[in-house]
Amino acid sequence: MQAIQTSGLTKEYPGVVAVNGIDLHVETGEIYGFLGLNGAGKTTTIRALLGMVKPTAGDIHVLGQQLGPHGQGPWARVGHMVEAPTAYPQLSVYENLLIASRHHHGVDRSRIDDVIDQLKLNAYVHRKAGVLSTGNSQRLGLAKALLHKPELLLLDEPTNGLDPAGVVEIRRLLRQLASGEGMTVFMSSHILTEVSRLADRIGIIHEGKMIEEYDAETINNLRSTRLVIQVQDPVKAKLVLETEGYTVAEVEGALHVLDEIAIGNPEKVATYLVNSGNPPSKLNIEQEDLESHFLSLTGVLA
Amino acid sequence: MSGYVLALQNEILKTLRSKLWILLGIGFSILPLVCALFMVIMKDPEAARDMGLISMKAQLLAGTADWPTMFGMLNMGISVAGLILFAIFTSWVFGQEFFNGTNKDLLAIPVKRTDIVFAKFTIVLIWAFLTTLYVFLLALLSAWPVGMPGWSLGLMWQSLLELLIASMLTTSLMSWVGFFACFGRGYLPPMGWAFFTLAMAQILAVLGWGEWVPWAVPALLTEMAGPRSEPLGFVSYFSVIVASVLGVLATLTWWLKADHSK
Repeated sequence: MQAIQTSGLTKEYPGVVAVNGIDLHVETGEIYGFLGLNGAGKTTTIRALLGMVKPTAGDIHVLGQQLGPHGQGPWARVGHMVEAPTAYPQLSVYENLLIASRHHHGVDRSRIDDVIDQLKLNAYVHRKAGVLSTGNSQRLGLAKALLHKPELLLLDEPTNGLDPAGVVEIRRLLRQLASGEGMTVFMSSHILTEVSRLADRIGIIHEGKMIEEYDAETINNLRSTRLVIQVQDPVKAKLVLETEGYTVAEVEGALHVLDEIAIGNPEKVATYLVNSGNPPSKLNIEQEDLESHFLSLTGVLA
Repeated sequence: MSGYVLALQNEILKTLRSKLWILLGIGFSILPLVCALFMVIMKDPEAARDMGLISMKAQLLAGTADWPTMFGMLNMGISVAGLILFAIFTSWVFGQEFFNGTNKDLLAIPVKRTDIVFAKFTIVLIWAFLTTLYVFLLALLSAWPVGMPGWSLGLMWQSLLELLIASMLTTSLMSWVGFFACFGRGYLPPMGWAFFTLAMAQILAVLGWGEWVPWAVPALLTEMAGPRSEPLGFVSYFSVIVASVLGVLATLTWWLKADHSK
């Protein structure tokens, strides 16, 4: 069963198409990274998945159930944190969790203690939520989302405001929830490195449209190290290297060699090119991070 | 436990942990204390001058210092002060969710949105009822030492009933305040609405159309807008009920049908 399935999801506001015909297919148990620049339509999509905004067109199925016209859905099985984490400032951390537990009938009180431990909020249990740091507010938001052991977790920028240690901690927690407890995680972010380290699949949204979707293998390939060579005659050089058994791709006039043996012995590659009368003017080992790929996709580098 | 009961428990916890109900309780305390002070002044103006309660040049207040006058003043006060103080509480009950951003936490949950809205209106009703009882009790305690004539147990129960009716009529009109707190996503729109209806009610009552305007009915009932020769008709009470129900329906419709994009 797919945890999330949308077809032609569209949301229009007067003069703006916030989400434009998005088809999402998120498998049960996977971590799906939903990537886009600010204003790309990530939050509107998440709100639509949670029945908070009504789509102008398209269907939404969450955990196999089509969302109702008045926002009805399988919410007992879904946890969420949309945009900035929120809490009642006059209530303590524990009381905020108590309120959230009542929103999910039948959540055992001991479960509150469990999430407090899990999110390392023990030192702040009796502190008013209004005086928590940004990072601890984020932890409280996540604790509320996890309180009822959801099957699907929808998170909007979950590591915003966390320090580097906090980011690693949350990443570890989400990975453990997905692999250990089989939870499906759908998380949005505008930080590509964060998503690429965690997600099994990544969808890139730009100006309301899904412009690219990668699976884990493609993500790895895109993140992989390569030997980047610049030569005067790339066509001839490519032929020479392919004859020697290398896998070569021509990208914007440069040659990219992905084979580990080439990356481990670049001097050998250089020798072949020199011997063929086509010496390299530049030879670098580069790791194409997704960042530049993402930026070129969204036209920011153009 | 039903979603409504769970939502009501949450509203009670939020209210108890807020300082607002204490501040509004202090605000309401002024009403019976001022009424009792007027009784002191009206009972013996010369003594009041000597005590410095009124200036030497001040006009004497009309009326007599007795229990029926005391209760009458209290009723009038609650119909006007209640409209604003009840509106502040209602604005907070609904508006805090938008001010804190916690409205998002109330949408995609197993508890129905209608249960959440009804729980919010219930806490407003409970708070207004308890506050009215407190005001009445404080009025008794503060006016008792004045030693006024006209006391009877029957008068006390009758006055309490009238005060509760005036208070509940005013509270039932808070449904529109709740609606504007949601529609306007905060505190200012509902308070603007409350002041608008207060002003409108006074003007229309003076013009003689108050019986048809729900927001003027509590003031007419307590004779705030002047003494009446005949009691208010059924139409007046019915208009309050209709306005109240429409306000609740508008709030429910907003929660169920509006786009919650903020």
